[in-house]
Amino acid sequence: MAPSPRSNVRPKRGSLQKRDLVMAVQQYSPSNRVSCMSITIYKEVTKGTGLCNEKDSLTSLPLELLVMIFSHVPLDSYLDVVQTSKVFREIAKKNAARLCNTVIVSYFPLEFSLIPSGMINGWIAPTHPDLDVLERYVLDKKKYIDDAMAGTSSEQESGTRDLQIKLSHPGPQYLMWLRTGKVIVKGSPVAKGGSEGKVVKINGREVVQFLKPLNSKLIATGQEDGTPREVCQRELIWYFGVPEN
Amino acid sequence: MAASESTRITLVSNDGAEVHVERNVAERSMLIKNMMEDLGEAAMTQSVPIPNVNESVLKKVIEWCEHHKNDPPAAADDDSDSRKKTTDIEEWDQKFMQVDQEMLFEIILASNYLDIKPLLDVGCKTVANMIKGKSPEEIRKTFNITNDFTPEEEEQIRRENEWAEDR
Repeated sequence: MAPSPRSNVRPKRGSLQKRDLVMAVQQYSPSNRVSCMSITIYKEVTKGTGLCNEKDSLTSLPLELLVMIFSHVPLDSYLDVVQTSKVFREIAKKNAARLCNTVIVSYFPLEFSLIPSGMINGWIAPTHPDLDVLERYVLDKKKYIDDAMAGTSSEQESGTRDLQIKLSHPGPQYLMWLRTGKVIVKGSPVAKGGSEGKVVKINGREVVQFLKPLNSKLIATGQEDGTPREVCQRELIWYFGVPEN
Repeated sequence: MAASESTRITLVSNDGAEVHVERNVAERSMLIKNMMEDLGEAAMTQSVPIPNVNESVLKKVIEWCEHHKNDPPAAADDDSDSRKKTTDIEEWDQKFMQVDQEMLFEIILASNYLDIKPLLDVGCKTVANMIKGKSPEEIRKTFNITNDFTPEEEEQIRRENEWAEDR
């Protein structure tokens, strides 16, 4: 039934939109028959009549579009994004793997095709056989941020946490490395300049150097004597968080 | 000019407005392109309803399609492109996207619905650029986002920032 005539009622913000609907109705009766009824609803429509009517339009975007937008955000801005609201924090954390994988596949197709990699717990991570040896070599030299995927610290020494991030472990570090690194293909350099933290060769014997620059900025030192911590790269904090001390 | 390029079709927005457009322009939308192929000749005599997009947004989207109607399809193996900064946007597209936020998000939603990937990409990059380099508070202010963190969570944020203050 339509409401009484509203010609003398002028909505302040928008106009009334009439919609006729047919809906299935479960009657409350012993027979439990399902029947249909026709109804008319009047809905106040404000300025927009399109797909987007929410006040906070960004948060109200579909998840897939938000992930797409976040995948264009520079890595060093992720920390700012996840600190904006709980919704963004949840979205970024719960879709972290998807987000990073999207960026890797979309923006690093060369590296993705050249560097042997696989899916580890949903994350694209390099799987080159030399990687483990090299990671051990680098990580044995210093104390780095602990394997953050475990979320706990198993090794502590001299009041300083032994923190490690491995490139071959699930996490955003591979993307970070790709974004800050360069790939040099043997015989035809793709990128000029320094090779620190990069794949040095791809064909033939592949040599990978990466973890030292990645981890050297993640060392937690000097806590007991009150000296400030060393620089911690926000590109990794957005995902790994701040370790407890 | 090929015959099909000069053929005009009629799109109907969700608020009932008819928008006449060249077929090859409209077919920047994969949704419309597929509809055209499915409908065959019938598509030339019938209006094509676009139920999720209103007139102003549809016209804006068509404006983008007009400008980009001769763009070559993106090469999948274009290495130089892949190394471009993810937030790089062509100058014309930057000006095109200088609209209010409501329209910007409507364009993003419409391009997603109409399956116009390059336009969706430009829209997402535009929003990403609005986020880039801003503090959480500035992002909230820009997009009118409510700060819903508890005091404890705010403390965690403060500690994260403390750690990351020296970029």
